[in-house]
Amino acid sequence: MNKEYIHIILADDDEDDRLFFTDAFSELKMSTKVQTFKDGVELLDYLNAKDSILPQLLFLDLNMPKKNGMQCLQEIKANPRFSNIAIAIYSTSSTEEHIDETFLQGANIYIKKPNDFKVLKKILADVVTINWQYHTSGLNKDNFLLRYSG
Amino acid sequence: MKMWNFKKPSFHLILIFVASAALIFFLMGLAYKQLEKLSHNTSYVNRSYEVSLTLERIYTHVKDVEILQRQYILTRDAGIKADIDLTIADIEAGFKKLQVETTGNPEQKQNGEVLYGYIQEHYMIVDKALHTDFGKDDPDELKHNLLAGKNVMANVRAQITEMLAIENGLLKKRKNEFHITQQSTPLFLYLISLLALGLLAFAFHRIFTDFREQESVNSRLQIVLNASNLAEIVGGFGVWILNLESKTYQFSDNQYRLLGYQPQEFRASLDFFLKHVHPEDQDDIKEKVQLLTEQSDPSPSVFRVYKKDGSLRYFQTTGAIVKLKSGEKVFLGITADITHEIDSTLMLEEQNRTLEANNQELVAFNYVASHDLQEPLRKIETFITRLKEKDGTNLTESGKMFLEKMHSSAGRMRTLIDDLLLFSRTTRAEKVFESTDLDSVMHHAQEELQQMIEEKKAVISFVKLPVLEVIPFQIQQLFINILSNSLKYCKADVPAFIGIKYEVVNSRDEAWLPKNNLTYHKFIFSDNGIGFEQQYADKIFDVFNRLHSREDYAGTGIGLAVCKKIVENHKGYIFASSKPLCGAVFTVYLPDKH
Repeated sequence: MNKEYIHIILADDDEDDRLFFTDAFSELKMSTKVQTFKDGVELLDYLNAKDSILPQLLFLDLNMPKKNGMQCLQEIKANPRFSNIAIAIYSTSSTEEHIDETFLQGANIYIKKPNDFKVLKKILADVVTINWQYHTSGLNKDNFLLRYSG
Repeated sequence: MKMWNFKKPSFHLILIFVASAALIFFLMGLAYKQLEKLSHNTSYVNRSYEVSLTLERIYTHVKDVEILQRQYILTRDAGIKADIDLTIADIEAGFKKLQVETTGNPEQKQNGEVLYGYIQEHYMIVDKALHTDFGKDDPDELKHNLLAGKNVMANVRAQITEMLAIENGLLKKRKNEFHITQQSTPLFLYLISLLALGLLAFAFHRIFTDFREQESVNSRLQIVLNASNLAEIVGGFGVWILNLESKTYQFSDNQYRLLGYQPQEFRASLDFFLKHVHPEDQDDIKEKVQLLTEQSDPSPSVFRVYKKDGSLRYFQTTGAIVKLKSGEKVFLGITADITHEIDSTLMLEEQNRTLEANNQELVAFNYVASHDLQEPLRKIETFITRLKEKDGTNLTESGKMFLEKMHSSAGRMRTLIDDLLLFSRTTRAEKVFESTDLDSVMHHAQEELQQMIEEKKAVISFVKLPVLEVIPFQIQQLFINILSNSLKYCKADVPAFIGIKYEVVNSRDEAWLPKNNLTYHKFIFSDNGIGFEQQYADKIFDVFNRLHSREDYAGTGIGLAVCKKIVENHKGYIFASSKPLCGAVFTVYLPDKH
């Protein structure tokens, strides 16, 4: 890490979810810089731009207009430039199909959006502090879906 | 050439007939011979009589001559000489007759010659006597003459007597023979007739028996034919027969009716039948008939037909080659009117499609509704938690209480939506069966319930579970729901205990299972919770059915309904049994795929 801050990006079309996300991080008081985008096109435009600071951690909502999370995931994984970005799927659904597909496409972790703000903060804190190099090397589907109580 | 079949009744009959005819001819021959013999005997007897008669006559005539000779000697009447000549002529005639009559008997013929010799001697003496004037020369000459004459007469008499004796003997013999033959002939004829009659009776019996049998076979055939005709009418099928050699067709009565014609209304032919076949199917059917008659493809084929009145029907035809006793090969085809089945099938398919579509709509609706309801609910819950966290302390007591109520209501709604989603997913999902290690599924389930397990200080014991072909995530849900149910309804003061047992059983031995003699995997979940009344054992599996109020126990009433659905997806069974305060036992049966 050559920067003190951990760059985090969220792509989610829901305004409230984006609010929860940024508020959670601001309350967590971790050294993070959070950016949000409201659809896949905006996200990829940013990532593909020459001077953009690439995030270490990307949270992807699956259900977005114009370009949904699955498509973004595929595009990002296809580009070697983005190979250092850890991708967390951040979605309302936790259907078997979505979990399987995103796992296959190379996402690092799957998070079902919690219904409790406190829990959200805990999740985000945990995810950010995971040492992704170790985590990804030992990844199996059992660990893919983040389990939490509440 | 075929070998004679010695068992064939017709051969028997011919044999008997030929034997009878031969026998009768033989017997006729014998009878003829017998009658011939009889007539021979009669003529022999007659002949003997005639010979005797002739001999007697001859003797009489000779004696006459002798007397006449003496009369002449005495009277020297010329008239007497004439008589003597006449009588001699009679003797000669008699001898001629005798010669003829003794032709068949050489001995007698010989005797006859001897007799003739004597008589010739007698002639000489008589002749001498006629031409000698006795008394003139020698008075003894007359005496000599008379003596000689007497000697010859004695000889003649002796000879004739002998001949008569012989004839008598012959006569006796022949009479005997005649008698025997006469006696035996009627008996013989009687026996022959009896035998002939016997044969006739036997032949008649055979013919009659055959005839009877033929009649009975005919009447059975008649019945069978009638039954077959009726069967055709009832079954809605017709029979067509193709003689493979002469290439001629025969249609059964109902085959005509199937097409809307009267029986035998037209001459049976393939062309006429094809005229009624739907234009698009005509080539197929021509080919099919070809294949069928060559036996290369006996599978039935369906085609469309227009009846005489123009209505459209669906026919199905198939058949087989049959070899008759006479060696002829015919093709026996069956054509059935399956319009009804096709219509039913089409109707069913239509209904199914409608039902399927409806079902899909409902399931989609259920899913979408549940899914789309989640979003706003999640927001509500999250904002409530934020409010609690940030401004909870700033609220008034009533404010805090209101907030709390809102939070718990939202939570209930969440549970309900989750369960509904789960329920719809259980129906909706692709039913993909995989070989799954149920041990690891159980472990996962317990991981999911980890918090609740810790809360209730629950102890779960289980045996090693098998590897089965199941829908993995559904079975996991099944275990989760049953376990969470047991955990939820545990007794307040007692640590929850859940025992899980497993065994393989046969449906014969299980009271609750249908007696289909199949193998099942039996899982028994028993807990020490509050239990329920057995009368509700079926109802608890109904959707939204609850046995307790919301205040006592939280719950949506969907959990066990989901369990039932999952078990049904696997073609298995689930049963519950319990007594209040004595815990509950849930038994799951999953069929063995083999």
